Amino acid sequence: MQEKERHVKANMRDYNDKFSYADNHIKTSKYNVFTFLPINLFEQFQRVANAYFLVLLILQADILLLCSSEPYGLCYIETAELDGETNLKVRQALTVTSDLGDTTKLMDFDGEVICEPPNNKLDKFIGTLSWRDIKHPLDNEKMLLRGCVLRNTEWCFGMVIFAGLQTKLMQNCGRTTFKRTSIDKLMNTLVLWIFAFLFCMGAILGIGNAVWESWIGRNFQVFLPWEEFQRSAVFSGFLTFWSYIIILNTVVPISLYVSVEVLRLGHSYFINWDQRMYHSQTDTAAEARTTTLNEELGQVEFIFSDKTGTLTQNIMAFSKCSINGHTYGDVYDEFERKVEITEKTACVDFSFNALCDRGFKFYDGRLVEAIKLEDPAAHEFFRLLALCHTVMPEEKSEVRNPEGQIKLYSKGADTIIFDLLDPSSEHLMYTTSEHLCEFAGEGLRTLALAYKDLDEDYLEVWMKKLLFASTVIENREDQLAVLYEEIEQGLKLLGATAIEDKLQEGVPETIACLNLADIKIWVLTGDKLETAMNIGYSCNMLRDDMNEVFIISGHAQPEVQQQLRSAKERILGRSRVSSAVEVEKADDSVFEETIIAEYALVINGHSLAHALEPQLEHVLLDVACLCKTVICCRVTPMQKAQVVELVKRYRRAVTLAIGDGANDVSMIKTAHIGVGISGQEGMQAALASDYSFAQFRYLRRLLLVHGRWSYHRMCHFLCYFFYKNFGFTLVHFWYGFFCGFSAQTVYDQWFITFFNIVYTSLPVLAMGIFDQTSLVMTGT
Amino acid sequence: MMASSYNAKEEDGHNSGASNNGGAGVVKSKKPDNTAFKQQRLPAWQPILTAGTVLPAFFVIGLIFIPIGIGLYVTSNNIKEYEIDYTGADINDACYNCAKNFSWNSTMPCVCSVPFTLEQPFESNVFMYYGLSNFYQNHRRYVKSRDDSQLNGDRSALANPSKECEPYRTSEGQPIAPCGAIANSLFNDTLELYYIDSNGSRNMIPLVKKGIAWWTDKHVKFRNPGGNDNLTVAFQGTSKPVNWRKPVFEMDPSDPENNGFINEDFIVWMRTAALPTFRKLYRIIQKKSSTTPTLPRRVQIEPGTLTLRDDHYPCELQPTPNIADTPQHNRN
Repeated sequence: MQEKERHVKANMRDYNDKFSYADNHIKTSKYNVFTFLPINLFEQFQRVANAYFLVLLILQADILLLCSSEPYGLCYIETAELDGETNLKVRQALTVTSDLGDTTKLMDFDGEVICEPPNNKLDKFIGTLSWRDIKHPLDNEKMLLRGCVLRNTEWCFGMVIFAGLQTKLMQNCGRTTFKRTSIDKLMNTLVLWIFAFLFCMGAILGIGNAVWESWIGRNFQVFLPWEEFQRSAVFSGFLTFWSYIIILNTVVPISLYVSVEVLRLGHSYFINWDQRMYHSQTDTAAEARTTTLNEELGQVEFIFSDKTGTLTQNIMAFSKCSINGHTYGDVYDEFERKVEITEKTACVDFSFNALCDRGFKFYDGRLVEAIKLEDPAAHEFFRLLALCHTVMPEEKSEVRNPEGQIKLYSKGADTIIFDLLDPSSEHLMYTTSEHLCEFAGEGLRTLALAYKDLDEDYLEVWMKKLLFASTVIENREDQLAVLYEEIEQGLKLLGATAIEDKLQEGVPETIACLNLADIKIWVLTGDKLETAMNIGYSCNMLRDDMNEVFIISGHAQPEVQQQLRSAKERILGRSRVSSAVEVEKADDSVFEETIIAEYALVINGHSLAHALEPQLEHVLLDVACLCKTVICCRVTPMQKAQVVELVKRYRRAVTLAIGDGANDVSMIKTAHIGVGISGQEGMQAALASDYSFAQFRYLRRLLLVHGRWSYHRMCHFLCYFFYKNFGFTLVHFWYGFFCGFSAQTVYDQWFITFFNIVYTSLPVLAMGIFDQTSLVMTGT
Repeated sequence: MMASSYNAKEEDGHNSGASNNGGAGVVKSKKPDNTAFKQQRLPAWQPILTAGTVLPAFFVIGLIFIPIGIGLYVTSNNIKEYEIDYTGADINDACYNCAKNFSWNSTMPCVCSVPFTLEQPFESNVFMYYGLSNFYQNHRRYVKSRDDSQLNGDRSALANPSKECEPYRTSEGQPIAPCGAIANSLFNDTLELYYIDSNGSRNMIPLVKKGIAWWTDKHVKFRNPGGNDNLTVAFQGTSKPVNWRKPVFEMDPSDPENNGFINEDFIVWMRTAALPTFRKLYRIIQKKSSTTPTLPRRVQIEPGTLTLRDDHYPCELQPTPNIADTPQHNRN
């Protein structure tokens, strides 16, 4: 039966026992004494090795924080094992429980927790604590999850909610699909073929023996009588077949798998050690988190890249704003002409403000003047920014200002905010959206700002509803959303901000270089179409000299279909005219090669949803593969993964996904190779990835140097390995013809034993680890 | 190339300083070490093959090998070899009658003589080989049909030979010494060389029967059981191989250093040949003095007679003695 809610009572063992929840016994090892051998062997054969690891945990269960040694029941934790973030986080106990520090008081505590069933959401927890007939809402801020480490806190008391395998950490240790490289698959095929070859040789020699024994061996019995069990030449041939299977077993490269692992480990270390993939500003070296994919790096054909934080720095600099219909940020000369901002342009002097950030540069003095003139809109604008001070897409806060007025401030994406506006701001909305388009065209990220005056009585009623909603367990999220929606109506528009996110260093060069290597780069971003296109232009993916940039932005399926079809026809039509080959028979893949003209495809999230449907996905893929550049904007994390999956499934090409945020994790896990940028948005992407480093430009070295070398080394290694094994073993095949097919070995038994493991293992390994193809990648 | 193009642009960060004097409390930089190994800058060399480099190298190596080849060819041609087939398969052969009447069980030896004349005298030491063709001394079951510890003088192996020796392990309830199929099929033809001088008298040419086996075989691998005991005593309780006419301790009664398991004819035979057609060293004819040839040529033509005792080889196996001059044992 599916568990719907969980009831845990403090100090009531009998009560809790009747639910038979999981105890705190955890087996992180995969095997036990009896299953080790078969399971391990099975996995070794599947090459699913080393996916297990033992984690030492400090906190062994998910507990609800009741009180701690610090004032107000505060508690500091480090969650590096959960999300990779090393900064300290604060957890605070409920006020009612924070004074339970005394053991006797704790003994009397008989609160009951009702909460959600075990799940794998690390950042969400919904529950209520009923104690002394009062219900208190519980959320993630009051939970200490298994895997956390207490810091700067002497002790804390808590109540175990989830234990053992039901803890959130363990629930997250899902089966990660093991990525295998094409060389792995090739190797398995080769080994099977070698087995077949071995049996062929055995059969030939066995038949040879039967013939020999009946023609020659029969007469040789004077010196060598047949053994009593050797009744006939045919039976002797049969025995010889098996003898030869044993003698010729050195063709089957048993030590190959071990050697390949050693090689890959070596290659991974070279990646970790590479100074040219080390970023000194963040003190991050590249890290090969998977050791099994190195040679696949040299085979990548498609790169799916996130934009924000991957191509750009994800360091947001306030660049422009629109307040109450006026734009600020551009500098104009005395003739009202826009002035290009350069290093020499005079900055606004912020020295009047003792708290200013000295690194910040702003060139338009009119904004400061507006503030100094006490323009109410400008003041509201900055008050909002001060309160909702992150660049998160959506944020709101309610404030009572000094005059006793209560205000609701809201900030978010223009599309969302504009839907919530009061009809009175309609005119302002048009001006502002014009400004927004202008900002987006310059590659800036935009957010709209709005506020609302609140009535005190209304707020009181609303707050009560909120408190009630936040203690329910089922559909808490939905109910809260309804409440928030209710209060966020009739907002008044304040303006919009435009934030600049600069390109990372070396991005255009890297993209150009990867393009030269015939690697297709698709940008998948959550940003607006204009912003995405602008970034596309600034990193040379879109160019003005391109023949055509197709923009697919239809909202309905037929529309999208029509746009895609016409795009395809235009591309094919043009090449049809120019190539003048017999086109009717040839299929599209032929055209891909013949098309010289450059096209780009920009597709919107809405359209992508339709285009990814089964009946359209082929058209989408065809068009996308005919284009030099593909940019998908406004895509959800799920769609990112779907696009990768699409290419993976139908193109049979090696795909690489690179991203930095939690929204890229699905794509990183789907692609053959996932690369995480350890950047501003935490470590989720890096933790889910196979390779991680700090800057996009290192991708060039990873793919074109390490990937290329790994692939070459691996291929040469395989050839060398097979060569030496064949050379060694075929001697016995040859010798069979001279020794009456009697399975006599040419070499001494010890020599055969040591040949693979002692005499020849080091040269072939050394070549596989150190060999470098004659490439000179200056500056990569 | 790699080293020179190395771009230290980023490596000048502030962190490098921290790692150098990184005492307690200083966060150690994660910057990888700048060593040739870790940065894959180890000295390396790869030949770039072009016609301009390959062709001269090819011809130079070819030229070096021409004199070597000439030297080898001349040496090989200087070896004088004379081969006699005494199988007696052909009716005109000297051994025809003897071989025809010979059977496995006959007690009478087959004795015949083959007269031959050398076209040139053999000047230096002469090595005398016997050769067998289509004799599968390299058959797996034949090769393993021996007991090395017995041959090394091990007492327990002498009394209880290895199972590998079957079916030549025991005979009449007693262990066979030496056991196994190899020993059982020992080549036991006796070959003697006579020189007929001008007055018709037969002079026996002395054949040296020691120094024909490997030193290690003679002194390490093969040892008689019982140390310095009387061999007859040492081999008491064992039986001779079924095909042998006399036991192993009577191989060479005149010389205790060449009797029993350390008999060199036996050792040579026990070192099995790799191919079914092979030669084994039989005797050495020592050069007498610098002036007289070891085997003279002309006058001795008629009487150069070889007396052969063909004991038990069936005809199709064709034992062939042949005589080769030094310095090389085999013609290349």
